[in-house]
Amino acid sequence: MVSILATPAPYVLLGLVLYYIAYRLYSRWIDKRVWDPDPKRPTPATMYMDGVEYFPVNRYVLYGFQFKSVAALGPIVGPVLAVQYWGWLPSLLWIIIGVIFIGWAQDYSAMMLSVRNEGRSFGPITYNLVGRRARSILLSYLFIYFWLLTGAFVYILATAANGFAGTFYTIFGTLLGGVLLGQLVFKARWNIFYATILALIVVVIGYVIGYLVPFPPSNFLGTYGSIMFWAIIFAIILGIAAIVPLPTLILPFNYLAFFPAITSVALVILSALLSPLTGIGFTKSAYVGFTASFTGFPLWPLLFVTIACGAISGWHSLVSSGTTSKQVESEIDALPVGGGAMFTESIVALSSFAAISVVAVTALGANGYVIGAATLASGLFGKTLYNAFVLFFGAFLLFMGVTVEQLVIRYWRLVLADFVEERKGAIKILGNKYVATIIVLVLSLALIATFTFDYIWEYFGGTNQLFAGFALLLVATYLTKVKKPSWYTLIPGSFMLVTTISAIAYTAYLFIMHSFNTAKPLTALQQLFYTYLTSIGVTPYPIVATFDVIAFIVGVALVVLSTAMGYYLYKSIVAYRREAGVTQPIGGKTTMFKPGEDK
Amino acid sequence: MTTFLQKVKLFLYGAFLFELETQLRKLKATYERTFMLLLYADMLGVPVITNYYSFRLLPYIINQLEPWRKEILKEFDILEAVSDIH
Repeated sequence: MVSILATPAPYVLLGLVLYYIAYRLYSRWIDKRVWDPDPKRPTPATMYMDGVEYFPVNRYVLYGFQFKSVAALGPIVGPVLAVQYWGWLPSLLWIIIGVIFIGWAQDYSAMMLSVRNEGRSFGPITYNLVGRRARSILLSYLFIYFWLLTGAFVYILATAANGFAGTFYTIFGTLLGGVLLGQLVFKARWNIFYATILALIVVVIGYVIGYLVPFPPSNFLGTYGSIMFWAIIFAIILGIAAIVPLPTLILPFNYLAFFPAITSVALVILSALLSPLTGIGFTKSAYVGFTASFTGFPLWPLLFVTIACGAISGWHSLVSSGTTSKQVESEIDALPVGGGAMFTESIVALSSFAAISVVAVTALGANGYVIGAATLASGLFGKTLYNAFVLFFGAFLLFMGVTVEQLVIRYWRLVLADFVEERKGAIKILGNKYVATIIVLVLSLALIATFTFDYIWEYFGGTNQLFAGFALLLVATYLTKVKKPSWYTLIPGSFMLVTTISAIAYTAYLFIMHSFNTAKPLTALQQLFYTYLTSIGVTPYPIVATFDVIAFIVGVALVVLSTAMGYYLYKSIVAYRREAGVTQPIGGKTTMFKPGEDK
Repeated sequence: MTTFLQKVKLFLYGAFLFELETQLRKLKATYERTFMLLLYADMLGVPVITNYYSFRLLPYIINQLEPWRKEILKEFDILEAVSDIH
């Protein structure tokens, strides 16, 4: 019999209890003391109601929407990797402490910041509070961020489709179901209830085919060839989804995919909480060491970027300040919607922690989640269902990736079109939706082809977490301006900024050091790339060294951009503090920096 | 007073269908704006010859004119659209 303390149950339960206490005490205290929401103060939803973007929405609806918006692949993959690198204890501590002191504060504060600034999103607020250059940095940053995100997520999709034969049919069935649903609801004007039932039947058929016909088998073209095959297949699917109108594919697909997604999370949490009854305990060490297994990553700073969503994610600040803030009915709703949804999203990270901590096999990457979740669930519902659960959770992993990725690629091409809009000459071709989509997909496939996923994930997590640092410091800037206490975002924001810049700089350093000695691959995973190149008669050295140098340059660019952004933010905070008379300049006449302007 | 069951229903609506609703609202507004632009671009300073149908439709559209003008003349920032990704 496994001791209760050797199962994930008490730790998941501890997390849930601590979240509840933090929400009831700390977040409410901050809410009251710093923002002091007034239910009588009109929100952007009521002031600028247009029925399109601005309109008041019930807090429970918004809470559900916000939760769905912020919970994607991030809270699942981050803990899976971190537990494999450093053990389950540091990962668990960071998830719980991160969300309690930083995560909810960012989501909620970004929302309140937007609510108090006419519902404007991050870009315009940065422009107003910090200046033109800061906004340009933010935009340049997004380019790199989306590229890394696409590279990391498509790789996860490809490895999942390759690792769990048959899962592709589940996503294919859901895509078909989505197209059918779109046509039935928007063209034939069916009632959504009946259309959903019909579409779900198509989804279930996809699952049944996937279960009965696990074809093509894993590694049918060799490990490297198969993963690249699936990466190309997903790139094509995502490319099509990013080009066709939203109601044709993306909207109905996202809606349908949420059915299995929410069921998966609920199943894993339930199975984890009941793990003492099923006797499924930890197989991973609580603490591996400061230096990670497989990759050699140091715990600080890399743990804090490996686990992004679930503890804190900069991405959420963009959602909180862009959509939901325009629909908050009353200021007092911002806490349950922004903060509450973040605590709920962290439960997804806890489910991921529980799943991976019971997996005996190591070095599985994101696929470890599927095996762990299937182990937990089949322990509860019957060992014979293990293969069915593997398919079910494998499909879940694919859904979460595709749901976000198709919108990311869509947005990437919009940013590119915006970027070249006022330029003349051949560069305008980049604004074409087909060209822009192909560019991002080809760049991402090139990133995937090098098989440096662990390193790319650190870059991606680093950029994501830097957004969090920016968001927290931007909130601190605003709070300083309006003479409110800003320590609760200034301290975590500074921590995130220093940690993430260090993480990116360290990863860039690893890349450049590797370029001098490419005889040995970066990780065991990259050995597959080496073997593939050798098998087709190509020497790995020049290709790997070139990639290392490019990756190093990207890292340096990120460090420079984020340092500059940090500089502008701190400069604004200092300027606002002086303006507010918090700190008087010492002696003589001082030339004041005027906030919102660049010198 | 909202009962627990109603709260659950509202949450599920938010999680499953609210994205669909907001995106469709935006799409509908885009079509309507374009339609009105074809008819009343002169109101924004774009010279078009106001045609017979513009006048015929005016009584039906008069309430939407002011929000439309406000929306279409609003400064657009690409960073605003990031939040649609989720």
